[in-house]
Amino acid sequence: MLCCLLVCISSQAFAQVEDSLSTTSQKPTKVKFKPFTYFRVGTDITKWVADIAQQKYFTFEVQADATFRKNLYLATELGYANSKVQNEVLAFDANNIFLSFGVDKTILHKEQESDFDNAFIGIRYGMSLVNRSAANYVIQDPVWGNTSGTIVARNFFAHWLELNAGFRLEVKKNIFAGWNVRFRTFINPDNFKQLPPAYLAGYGRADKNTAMGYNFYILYGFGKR
Amino acid sequence: MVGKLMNVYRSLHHGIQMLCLVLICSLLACKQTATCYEPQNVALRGGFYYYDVDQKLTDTLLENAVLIFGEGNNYFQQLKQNNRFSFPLSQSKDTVSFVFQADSSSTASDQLDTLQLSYNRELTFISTACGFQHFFQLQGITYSKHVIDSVIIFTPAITNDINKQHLQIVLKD
Repeated sequence: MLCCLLVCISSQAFAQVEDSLSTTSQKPTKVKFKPFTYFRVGTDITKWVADIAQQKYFTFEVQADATFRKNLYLATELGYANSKVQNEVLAFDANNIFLSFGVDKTILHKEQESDFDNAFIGIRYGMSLVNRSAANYVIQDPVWGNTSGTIVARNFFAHWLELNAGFRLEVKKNIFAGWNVRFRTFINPDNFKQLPPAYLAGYGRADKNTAMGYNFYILYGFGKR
Repeated sequence: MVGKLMNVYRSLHHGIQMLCLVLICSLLACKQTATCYEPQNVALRGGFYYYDVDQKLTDTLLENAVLIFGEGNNYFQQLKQNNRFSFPLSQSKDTVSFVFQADSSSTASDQLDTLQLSYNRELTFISTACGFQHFFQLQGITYSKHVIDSVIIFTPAITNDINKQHLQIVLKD
């Protein structure tokens, strides 16, 4: 089997040498890749499901990417979330907007230049402005009596790094569906040591220094393929 | 092309399966955040001792003693064949008083000692589900000396670490 493969490869190689010898006068026509010719924009539908399934937070996320190099896309995501912590001992709201940008590299061989079905791995830098309301707390103490108080509201900046991997499929012309999984870690976790929001758009549960996430995007593509 | 498309569809199918799994996990994770798992019991812990003939501190079992504490002194902790005690400090005041009764069957004044602890409070965030607790830093203690010989502040910092002893109450022999 291996011998057959070697024979095939070598015969193809010889054929290519012969071709190049017979056409030495002709310059090879190399197609130059033009960046920013095809774009995709879409939204994460898992967030819609999450919004319906629970009452603790509302969020939406959109994504856009553009061809940049062969096998490389520039990608950006932005989104918003508001969340609520309300239990016997603590009550506060938080909202945030986020922007992340980075690159996705496709890892499967393209059969045609217009073929956009592919698996990818990517990296992102994410940043967010977080607005937390004043927090009311109660310390329950049956022995000496309950105590309550308020922690003042706070606005702060958060940023994180993210690795992702996933798959995208063109289900109809210019309509894409795809999933990915994400691993994120805060660059400034100290901001979340006290009163972390129940949900941080672009990141997930903010009470953890590292978070796993997922997306299921529906995207629309446009531009020159 | 057909082979690749099959792979693509397989991958997407696996993706949907994984997505369902992750959705279930995340819904379960959401439920877990409502339950407080972190230790919340920030209590003063202490033990009873006496000085032996060599003036070494030795722990002693109490036959039938009582500690009285709480708002209005309405909490009791019976110490029968025991030499350890613990109770919470007030989350809203910087001093608490408690009473040590050496013999639960006797309310004679020479069997009672009153102790007053003073401390600083530090508001500490535990978690979203558990909220806040005060941690304490013991500043001093005053006490009567009917049955108590002396009191030693052994560890001034009181946190939710249950392995620390903060007070050593030395009884008269």
